[in-house]
Amino acid sequence: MEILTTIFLVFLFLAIYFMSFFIILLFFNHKKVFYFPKPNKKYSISFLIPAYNEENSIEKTIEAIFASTYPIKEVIVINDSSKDNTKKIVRRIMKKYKKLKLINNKKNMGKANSLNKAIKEARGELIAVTDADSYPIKEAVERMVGFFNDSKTGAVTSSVFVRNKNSFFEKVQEIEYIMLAWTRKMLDFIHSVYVTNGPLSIYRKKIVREVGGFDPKSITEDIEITWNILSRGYKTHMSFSARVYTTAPSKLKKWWKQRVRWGVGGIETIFKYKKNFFRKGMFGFFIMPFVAFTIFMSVAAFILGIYLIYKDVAVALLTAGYSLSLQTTVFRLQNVNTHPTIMLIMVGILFIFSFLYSTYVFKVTKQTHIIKLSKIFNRLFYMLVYLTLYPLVWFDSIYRVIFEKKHKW
Amino acid sequence: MEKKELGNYVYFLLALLVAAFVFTFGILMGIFIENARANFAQENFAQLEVELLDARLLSDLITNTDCETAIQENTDFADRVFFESLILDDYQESAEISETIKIQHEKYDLLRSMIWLNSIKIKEKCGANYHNVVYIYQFDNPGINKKAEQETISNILIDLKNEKKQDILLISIAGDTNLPSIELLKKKYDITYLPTVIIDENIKIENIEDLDKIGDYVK
Repeated sequence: MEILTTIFLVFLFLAIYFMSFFIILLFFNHKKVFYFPKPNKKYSISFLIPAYNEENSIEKTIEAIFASTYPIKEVIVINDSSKDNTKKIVRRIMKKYKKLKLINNKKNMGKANSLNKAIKEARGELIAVTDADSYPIKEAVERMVGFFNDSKTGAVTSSVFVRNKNSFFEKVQEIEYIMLAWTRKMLDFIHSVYVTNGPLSIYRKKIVREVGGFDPKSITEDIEITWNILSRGYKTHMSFSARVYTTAPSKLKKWWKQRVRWGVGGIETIFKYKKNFFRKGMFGFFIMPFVAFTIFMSVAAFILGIYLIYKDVAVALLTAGYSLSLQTTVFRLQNVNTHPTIMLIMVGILFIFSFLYSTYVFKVTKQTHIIKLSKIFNRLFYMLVYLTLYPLVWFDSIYRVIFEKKHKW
Repeated sequence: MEKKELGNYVYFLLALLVAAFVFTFGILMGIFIENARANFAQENFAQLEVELLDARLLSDLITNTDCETAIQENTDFADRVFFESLILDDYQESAEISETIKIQHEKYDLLRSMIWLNSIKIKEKCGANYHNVVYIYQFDNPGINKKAEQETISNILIDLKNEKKQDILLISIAGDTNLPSIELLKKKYDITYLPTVIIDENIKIENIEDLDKIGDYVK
């Protein structure tokens, strides 16, 4: 057997393994996906909204929080030296909501420092953090707080859905966000929620203080704090029923910047917690290897794919060149191998399974508009193009981790 | 480690079992498909074997008056083998697990060598004026450049065959099978480079650029 075939078989086995893993998780937990425990006490919650130039969305975010079915103790907006009208807008809304507070940073301090500053002033037992361009549904908090009944729970996150679904690019991201949220919920069943997202996550203040708050050095403070909490033996959860709608990047450039930031932050967090590899239960034995391995596999599969494509394209181009110079037939249908390899058949079957699995996800999450036949192109694009090209983000992220000392975002 | 976490490992183990089952099933399916293709080639080969024996017997028995039949038989037979072996090449290119197809391919290479030798014999006996065009190529890992070269040569020869029809007898043989008889043929015709095209056992074309003259050799 050729070396390439062996590598391909290893990839295939791992792909089948993870596919089986998520299907088994679903099979045994499908009744619990939308479940959320009822709180056994009244938790006091302080909402923190870090904001930098958010004049277009801040008002709606504040309105969405105050519409919560669960009582909110206070909402603190941290205006991180915005250059637009954010401060003015918040001041205006403060007249309407007495529980709304404003912290003004004289200098731009960054998200982590802003949050840490606000945590010192927050009076709630729980700290909810939401991005200023995200809108939680009114039941979101109510569906999250019950997870804190377990005193070991340090953080609970929500399912993020895309708010702006107008352009093709946004629609593709909508698919991605739903699949990400679903996968995160599956991982919750094995206590492996490794990201508490920026759009809406709730933390136990005591534990956040214990872990030293949000790390200002990290460009993805939400990933870092989650790993910090997990590394100390606390739990994280995800409430799939707690939805928050966020604004997905509309332009490729903005999207790329966002994803590379996530990538760099993720890689740096792996390095920061590298001592925990294969230690400390699920965190060291599964989460860390899983995240590191996902990055490695994504990059390696891309390189392998490029090599295989390069080989075929190079042969085709050279053949065309020779054929043209010798004035013979450039392309002959007869030369197309119509007998697929078993690898190709297995990849095809895996693709069909993934497609059916995602169809199930969209159906149970009541996102049926995505599974309409007219939207099939979006789904195929997501599976065949978006996911295939995503490793390019990892390449850029790895490059920046290696060659850039300071990351500016 | 907590008690509850231990329960998580059940998912990992179950997934491993399922994945192992699915993967093994896939591999077995692969072996089955590749064997089915090999069986198909085997059936075709059995049929061709009969035809080859018939053609060889015919070449032994012919007198001058039977030449036309013998030539016709041999050319038709060579054509069939040539085009069937293209499918076999596809099969082997797609074979990733089992080695069965490789053996079939070697049998076909021997068969094609016999057709060539038979054709030489017929030409000698009948003084026939068709041309033997034998294409000896590299089958195993030819590399990008060589693969492109070989695909082009294959296209040129198919075009030539379509143009000249019965005037040429086209035979392709994998030259890197290490089969003693094929090695001997290579030695006999001094073939040291693959791919090489031999016309009427005396013209040797190794350079792809010289193939534009092939039409002149088979006028």
